[in-house]
Amino acid sequence: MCLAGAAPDYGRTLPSSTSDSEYRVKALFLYKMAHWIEWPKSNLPESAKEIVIGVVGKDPFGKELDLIEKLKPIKKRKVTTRRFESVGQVKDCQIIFLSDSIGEADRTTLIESARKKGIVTVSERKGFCAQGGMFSLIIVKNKLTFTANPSAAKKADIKVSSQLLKLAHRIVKEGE
Amino acid sequence: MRNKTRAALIGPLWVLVLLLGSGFGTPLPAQNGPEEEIDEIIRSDDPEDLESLSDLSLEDLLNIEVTSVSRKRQKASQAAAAIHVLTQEDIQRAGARSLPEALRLVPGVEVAQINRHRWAVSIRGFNDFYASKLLVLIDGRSVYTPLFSGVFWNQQIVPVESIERIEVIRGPGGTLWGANAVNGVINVITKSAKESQGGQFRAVAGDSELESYLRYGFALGEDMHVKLHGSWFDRHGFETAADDEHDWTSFQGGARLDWAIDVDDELTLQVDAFDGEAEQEFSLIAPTPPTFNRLIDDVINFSGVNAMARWRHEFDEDQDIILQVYFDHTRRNEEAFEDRRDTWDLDFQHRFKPADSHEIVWGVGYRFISDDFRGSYALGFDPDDRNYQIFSFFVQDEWTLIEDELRLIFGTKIEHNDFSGFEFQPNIRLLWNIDEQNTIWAAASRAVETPSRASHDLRLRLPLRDLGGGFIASGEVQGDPDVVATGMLAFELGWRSQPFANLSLDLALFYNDYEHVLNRHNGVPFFDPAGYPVVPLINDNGAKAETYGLELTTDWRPLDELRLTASWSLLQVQVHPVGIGSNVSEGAESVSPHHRLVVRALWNPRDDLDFSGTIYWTDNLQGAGIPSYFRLDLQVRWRPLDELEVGAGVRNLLDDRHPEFGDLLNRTPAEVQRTIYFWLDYRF
Repeated sequence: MCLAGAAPDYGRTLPSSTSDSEYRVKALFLYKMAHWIEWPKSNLPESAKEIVIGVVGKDPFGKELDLIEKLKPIKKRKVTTRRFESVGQVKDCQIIFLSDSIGEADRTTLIESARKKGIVTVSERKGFCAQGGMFSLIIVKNKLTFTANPSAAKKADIKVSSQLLKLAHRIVKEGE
Repeated sequence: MRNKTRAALIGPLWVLVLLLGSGFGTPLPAQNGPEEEIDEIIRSDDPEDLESLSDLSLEDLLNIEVTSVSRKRQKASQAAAAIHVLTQEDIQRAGARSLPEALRLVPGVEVAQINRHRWAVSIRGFNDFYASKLLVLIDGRSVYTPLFSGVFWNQQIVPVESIERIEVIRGPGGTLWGANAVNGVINVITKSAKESQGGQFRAVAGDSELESYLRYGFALGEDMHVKLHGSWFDRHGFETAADDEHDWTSFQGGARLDWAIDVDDELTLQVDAFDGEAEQEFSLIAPTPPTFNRLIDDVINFSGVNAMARWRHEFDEDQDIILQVYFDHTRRNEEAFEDRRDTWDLDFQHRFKPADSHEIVWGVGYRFISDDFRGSYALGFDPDDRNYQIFSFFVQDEWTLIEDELRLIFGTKIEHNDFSGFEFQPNIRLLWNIDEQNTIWAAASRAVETPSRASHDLRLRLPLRDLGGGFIASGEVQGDPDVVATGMLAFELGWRSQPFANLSLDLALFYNDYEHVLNRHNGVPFFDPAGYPVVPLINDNGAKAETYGLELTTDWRPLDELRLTASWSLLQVQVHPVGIGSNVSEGAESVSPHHRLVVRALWNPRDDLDFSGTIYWTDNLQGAGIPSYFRLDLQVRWRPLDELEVGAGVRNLLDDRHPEFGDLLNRTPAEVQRTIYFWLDYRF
């Protein structure tokens, strides 16, 4: 017996005309969070003119991510975006978004290397923070919220403002 | 219109109950000004107000209601099976007021109306009023009766307004869905309480129907939603040559609660009850000489109550568990029998990913059925009452061989039932996304139709008739305790294509090979104590059969405001009785149309006005002497206010009447008439 709630949700055969705002909101969140984060000098020297938001793996944002390049600078730095095909290519960015297409092993590798490089790691996976990731974007009751793992950030020498943390749905301690 | 007092009286009462009940709880507060503004910026196709976006606070951002359709959208084209989804909108625009009428729209599904409240419904052949090879689920509750493994469609009282969608899978769904999913699965999913907030009242009136539906949904806090709903209808029978009456009335009421306990847990509680009556006329044999045969004017009384609880816990994206339990009680009382039935069902399902490329779903189920059958001279079961149970286990692995390109899905279901013991139903499917526009899938599966009470325990004495040469006798259909399950091997191939953004095609080919198909052989004639001869017709599994065919569906949107869909279903059935069997099973060759066409045009010239037209063409049923028929339905809908919708439609416009199916219970079936209807829908 396949239970109705889990019966494959095949949805409609053709795209619906309803606008899909989920990824615009998530892209804006990546932009906004930069305001509340302090990176180690090794990754973001005083002289840096840009804050780079990267996406690795299959990009779920499409043009929604490009939108943030048109927005106001944050802390006098222009916010730009980059796409990486594989985990090995990830470099020169301040925030990295791991797409769902990134597998378990690559995820672990990237969490590790991002810590060394001082990059903020963000994913859409619920268990991401428990695994050592820093932020996990989740939808609860049709609204975007997030789980945060400030101790993982701390290990990477990244300071996360309490202004941001107080909005978190849940705070995870690494290894929990 | 005899003896219909109960449903007719109780009917309007629920309106009162719901109106009283609607005082409780408060609808969600309307959105205020600034939120609407933010919402507008967020949803605009090309936001120009970049300043506002830049200055949006995080709090505001986290407060926006997001819509996410993209991830779910992919899946219809990603299923490795022949699937068709009917939405609430599809059903409303076809003017369908009952489940079988809605199912006419689905390619591969045969729907033939026998009279006002009886249909023969099947998928890919073997159609009959007693069609027995479908699994029909309403919100996860199985509604085919183990009495004959078919569905009493006239007691499936689901108001169409409450339906979110109907998923129809042609072909065996045996692995995941289990018992009786031989020729297909019909999965009716109703709207959650959250999707049913506020009030809705709908009244439908026409030359053959009077119906109403009332719903009220409210929130108990942010996480808990409740809906109460009720419906009532009185549908007049079609006129027949013999002046038979087939009026059908029913009333139904229910409640549903959806509770998002926390991020990881969801709970749904649902309870529904119905009560109704349907008229029928038929011949029945009685031990009263000299004629023995009696013509019966009968009223079927049916009622039921069911309750369901479902809990889902999500560990993370890759792992969840679902636990569902339901209880279902039905009662059906006819001149020839009374059937009371209690079903308890418990299901557990676990989905997890042991590795990135594997997703495993497994589950266990237990069902206990207790029936209490009171037969008559003409119809009985031996034993009268029976308790029986079904244990089931399934496991399926979806193995991604090449990311986004090639997937292999394989698994099996193992089931134990009291009639035929262990049944093994494996399947294997392959899905290949050739490119962005094209997907091919192939499947091989085995499915089993579990013996029913009828094939096992039945004793049905048929009216006397001339069997030839002036030999007047009765027949007695007898179940056989040694009957085994009907098995089927199915091979399917499918292609889906979306060559242009506004055009999609879906083709499915199938070849089904059945063994142990139900057949009958003659036993040794005997004399009934009342003095007439009886020829026993004993159930056996002495037939083999093959069916093959295709379904082709296209969906084209030439303009934003115009959508055209067409589907063609082709079917061939070959039955081969083995040994000395009678030709009962061969009838299956001629009770399914070879060709069926459904063409729809949906035109929305304005936001508040739309038109629909549907053409159904069904090939003749040679064996039953039913000519092919062409049916045209039209409908117009207008929304003068946000809260108000009115509409009108006509079914079978070009034809006074036409028959759709052969004899039933020794009476000529009613012919389907032209009907017109109007409706009003008010939201509050």
